[in-house]
Amino acid sequence: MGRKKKKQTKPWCWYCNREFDDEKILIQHQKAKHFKCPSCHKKLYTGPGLSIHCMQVHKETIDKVPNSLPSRNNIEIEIYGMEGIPEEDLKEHERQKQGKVGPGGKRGLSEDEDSQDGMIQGPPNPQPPQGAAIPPPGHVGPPVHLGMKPPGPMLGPMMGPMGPMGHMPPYMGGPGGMVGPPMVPMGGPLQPPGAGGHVAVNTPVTSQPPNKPLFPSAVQVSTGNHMGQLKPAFPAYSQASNINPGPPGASGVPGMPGCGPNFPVSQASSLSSHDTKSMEAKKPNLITTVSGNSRIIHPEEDISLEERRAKLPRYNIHAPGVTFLQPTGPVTATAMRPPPHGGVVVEAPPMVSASHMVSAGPMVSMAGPGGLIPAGAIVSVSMPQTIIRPAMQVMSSAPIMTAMPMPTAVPSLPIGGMRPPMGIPQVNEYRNITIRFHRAYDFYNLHVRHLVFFIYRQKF
Amino acid sequence: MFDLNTSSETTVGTHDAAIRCVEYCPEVNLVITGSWDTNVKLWDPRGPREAGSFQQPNKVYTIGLCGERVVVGTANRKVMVWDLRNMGFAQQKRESSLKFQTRCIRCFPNKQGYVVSSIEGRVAVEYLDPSPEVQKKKYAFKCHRLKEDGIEKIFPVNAISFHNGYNTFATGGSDGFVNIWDGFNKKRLCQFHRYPTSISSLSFSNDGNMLAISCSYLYEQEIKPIPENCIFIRKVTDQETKPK
Repeated sequence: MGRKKKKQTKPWCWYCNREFDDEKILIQHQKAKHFKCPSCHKKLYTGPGLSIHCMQVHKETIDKVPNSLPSRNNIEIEIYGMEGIPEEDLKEHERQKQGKVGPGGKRGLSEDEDSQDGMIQGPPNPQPPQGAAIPPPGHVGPPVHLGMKPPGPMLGPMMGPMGPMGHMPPYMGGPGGMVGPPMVPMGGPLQPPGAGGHVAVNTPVTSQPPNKPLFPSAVQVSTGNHMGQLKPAFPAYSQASNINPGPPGASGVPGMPGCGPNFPVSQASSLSSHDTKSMEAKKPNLITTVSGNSRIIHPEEDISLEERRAKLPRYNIHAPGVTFLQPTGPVTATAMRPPPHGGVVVEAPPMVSASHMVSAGPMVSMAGPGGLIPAGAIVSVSMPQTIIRPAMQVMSSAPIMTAMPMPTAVPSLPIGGMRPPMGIPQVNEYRNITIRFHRAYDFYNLHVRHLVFFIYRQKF
Repeated sequence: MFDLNTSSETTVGTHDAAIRCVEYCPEVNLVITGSWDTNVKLWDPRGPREAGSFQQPNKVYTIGLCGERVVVGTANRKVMVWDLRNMGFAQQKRESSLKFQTRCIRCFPNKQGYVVSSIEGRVAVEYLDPSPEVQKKKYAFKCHRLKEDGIEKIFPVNAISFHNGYNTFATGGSDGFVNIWDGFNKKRLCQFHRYPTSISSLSFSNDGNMLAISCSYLYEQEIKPIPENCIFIRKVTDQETKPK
């Protein structure tokens, strides 16, 4: 009994009240956070040690332990790890811990109630599925971690504290907000949780308004901008959900069924989950920049760059007066355009270029106005024999190959000369292009012969 | 579908909105397309027909292939893991551990996990194995940020490509930089010189000796004149790609 009790108190830092799994890490933390000399970043071992170092080396007096709580900044007290903590503080800490277990348990209960609330069917208290990290033993609710300032890089250990979030009903969708379009292929919703590791648990739809989450950390999220100062447990999540949540409680904001609480760390931001349909109807969400002195270089709307780009008039093939036909085909255009970097030319030998044209056929038609190809056709032009060969100057003066180049016949490219900048000019700028090397061929042996272009047709 | 042998072209099928990504899975011989119409469709290259259509939680933004598994990243930061051999249900439904819009997902060649990048200069390394011990290893880091005049500019990370041999990966951002990372040791291996504009796509060659870098303005912000599009093919050395 007594042993068990002892196990429950984890090593904690007197200066900042933070808990650690291991005293070694606690000592590392203290050295890095509290015993580091502000002038020369030397890591000392204790508070008095730091004070003496500063006095002797830098002729400075230090009156407070850096990064400590206001009431715990006494530099005179010699604390190393868990050693030297004043008795009354030890007791106080233990008492607080005991006190917090209760609320933590209660929280679990209310979760269950919530999840039963709007659920279709299924056992209450879904086990945290695969993604959820199991909370470390003796771990109590998040309140303990709130005031703490864990250092940034310790991502690994921090997963622990995030663990309990796995229990949180992930969607705080509006009342009755359930099931957008029927998600036919997702077997998830009907499967009982826990059957197989991969079945997502039903999304419990809570009747709570989105802005009143169960969880302190979620509260932080919804309050958004304070996050920066509060420094929550996981830096990666510290920027709050900057994607504005939809109107609270809007009935058109269904929770996403089938997206169960698989990921422990993910729920905090689930406020912003919408269904696509409602997304389209609404104006896209906005991305707010993290803080005053940083800026995300991205358009304000929370849509992908490509979607935004597709809205530009030049891509709107129905718009009158848009010169859409001009480049007959991306690839041919590629071959014809003057090189942007003087002298660096992509040259396709005539023969090859001819077959280029052939294979560029689909793309030519694709570029035509108004969907000659039904929307969404995949046009993947993979051309092992039609080469987009980035010929450098060396190459262009070489005899032009007329036959289909066999691996042996390809003059080896001067590898040393392959370093950038070696531009292949003018990739089609009208569509999204992804370049991939052809998987089936070894690029190195065959040189630059197997660029496979996938071209995505966009319908407007 | 374009048949190289006969130079003929067939339309296999359509999506209701623009197709954002196309992948080919050699393990099961399927072409996979993901579209803004929120569907992922499978296509059998042997016959001109659709092999299946699978609704995703939102518009498909990116697809990563992991052997027979497909990791689909959609709008609203959803991540779905499907098994191509059993498409009856999504194997895993996750939310991206990054706070901002998912930009790109690529899988480790050793099939252990995948890497997600977001528009907010951040990359997460995630593992597919749902067991807590493995999940503990996941992490995220900041990258593709520039400090200019006291303001930190945070750029979207548009492209990821894995080195097949070393399981290291390159990321390309709208800052015009390409970085190569060792995801297992949490180390940056190298950074290339700055490219003229946003890196829109990256691809390592099969043997990992070359890296193709496409550079294209993506309309992140107003720039005039619009920079030229270009592709760079760069030979990369072991020193740049091999874990140290």
